[in-house]
Amino acid sequence: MPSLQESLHRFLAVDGVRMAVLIDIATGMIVQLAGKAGPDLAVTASCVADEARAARTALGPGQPAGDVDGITTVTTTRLHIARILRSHPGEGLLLLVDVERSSSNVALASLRVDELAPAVLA
Amino acid sequence: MDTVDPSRAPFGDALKECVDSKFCGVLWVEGWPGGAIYLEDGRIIACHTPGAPSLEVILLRSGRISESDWNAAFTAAAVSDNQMTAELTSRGLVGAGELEALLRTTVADAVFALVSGRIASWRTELSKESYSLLLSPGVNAAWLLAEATRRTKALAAFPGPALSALDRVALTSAAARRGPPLGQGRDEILALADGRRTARDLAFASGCGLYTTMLQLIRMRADGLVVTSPPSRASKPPGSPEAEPGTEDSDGTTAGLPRRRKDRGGLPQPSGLSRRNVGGSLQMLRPRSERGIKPD
Amino acid sequence: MDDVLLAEMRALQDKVTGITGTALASRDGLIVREDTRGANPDNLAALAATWLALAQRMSGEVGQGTLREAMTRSTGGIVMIYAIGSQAVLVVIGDEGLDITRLHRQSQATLDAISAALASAPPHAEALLTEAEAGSHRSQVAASSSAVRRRRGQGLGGGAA
Repeated sequence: MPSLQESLHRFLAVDGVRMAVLIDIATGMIVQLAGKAGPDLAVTASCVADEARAARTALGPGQPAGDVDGITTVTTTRLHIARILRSHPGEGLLLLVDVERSSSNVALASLRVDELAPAVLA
Repeated sequence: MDTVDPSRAPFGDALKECVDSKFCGVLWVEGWPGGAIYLEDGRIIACHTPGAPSLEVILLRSGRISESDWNAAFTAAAVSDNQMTAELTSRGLVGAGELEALLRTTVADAVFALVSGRIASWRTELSKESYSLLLSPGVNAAWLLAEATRRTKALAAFPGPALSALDRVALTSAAARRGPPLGQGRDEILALADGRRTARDLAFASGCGLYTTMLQLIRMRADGLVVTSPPSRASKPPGSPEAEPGTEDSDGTTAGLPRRRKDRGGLPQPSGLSRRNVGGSLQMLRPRSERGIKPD
Repeated sequence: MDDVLLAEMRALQDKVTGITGTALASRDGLIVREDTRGANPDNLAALAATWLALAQRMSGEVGQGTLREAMTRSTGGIVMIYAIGSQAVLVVIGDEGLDITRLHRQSQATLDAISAALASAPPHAEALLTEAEAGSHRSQVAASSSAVRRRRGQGLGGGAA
């Protein structure tokens, strides 16, 4: 079975993807990554994990509407596509894919990420 | 004021030596909580400590894997001399990627528990014995120590005195009066906090990681729901320095780890042991720039 | 005596990572002190006394000398019992992360201290043993070890002479 690094590496074949990171939501820890890590990646990972937790809180305790699926962040040059892959144990795992905005768009990038995401934890 | 010279931190040296020599075996650590770091080719493949819940505890307590499924996999692995990890995935109990992720987070938690506690002494043991639930290939030790430092800094960013895994946790009256459930594991922790259980005990009792539990506690402390207190002088582990109340606070120059005060004399000095602040040993293995370190 | 017993039990709990509770019972199954936060002390005491007696008989049966401790290991943790002289039994309950190595190292001092405290205390209703009870236990142990010796003499113990 492919290791985490290999499954994350597959995202790099997608147009514009610079990096794919698996993040532990409860701790903000980078579990594994593929691609080019910027100097602030640890901080970014921690922040994205906090965002996921804040989004969950916003949905209310017990999350009657179900768990957060993902969060997409758009800046002038980049897209951050985040997908929550697991909610348990702990607070689960989140996949973050960093995409060059000039090479893609939100819909396309999300589509490709969603195609590859299920294989990451398999 | 205690001064620390990170370049002379012996435990960091010992671990670095294991890494550089591509050591295969065990690094036994005496301390509080102490534990064992298992290495293969200088990379960390497992870490066991009484200070943080193991992967088995996390998986079973959360219900992710049932006891019977676990026992069946364990038995099969023992009988066929297989790796437990292979049994769990081949039986479809957990995906390989998810298992690897969970192994990484529990090893990181164990290393954090071990190095953020007190380290009294250590020894290496060459060993080719195979243990179950291994990360193979192992994780970069420098990366795990950097992660432990990151966690300590994250806890230190909250107001109030530094939180130790040995601190006891009690509810405030505000907690008793709280209204709707808080969610995200907080209610479970509040239900278990009884003034005697330590942060570490609460991690085990709730089946969650040590660091995760400490984060929740320090957030709830900032929200006025819990109070924490260091273990009483009488119950401090033997050999630990006699800190006066209120002096555990970091002076902000290190990673926020509790500092050892200079020995006032009279405490036995075991030979060859480090009295260095454990924070020093974390810094020892952290490269000049933390940038670009990958978990590997 | 109250403070001394509980103090020793709590001190052990503070020194060893992972102890979640302790209890002290008489050999006839009565609770003497308990610090378990939720377990039923009477059940604990009865079970501990019975278990200790069985465990000692087992080690006697296989000729292994004095019992040091008996242990259960379950998915949720560990229970250890220790004989305190011939008077009492100490129960130590630990979670999945119990530091067994440290417990081994620290327990003897606790056992000795509790034993001394029990020996120096005047007997009272809640506590423990009458001389008769202690005497009857000693003759039980003597009977079982002489039974073992007899069997060996008859050549059933196995092993070459």
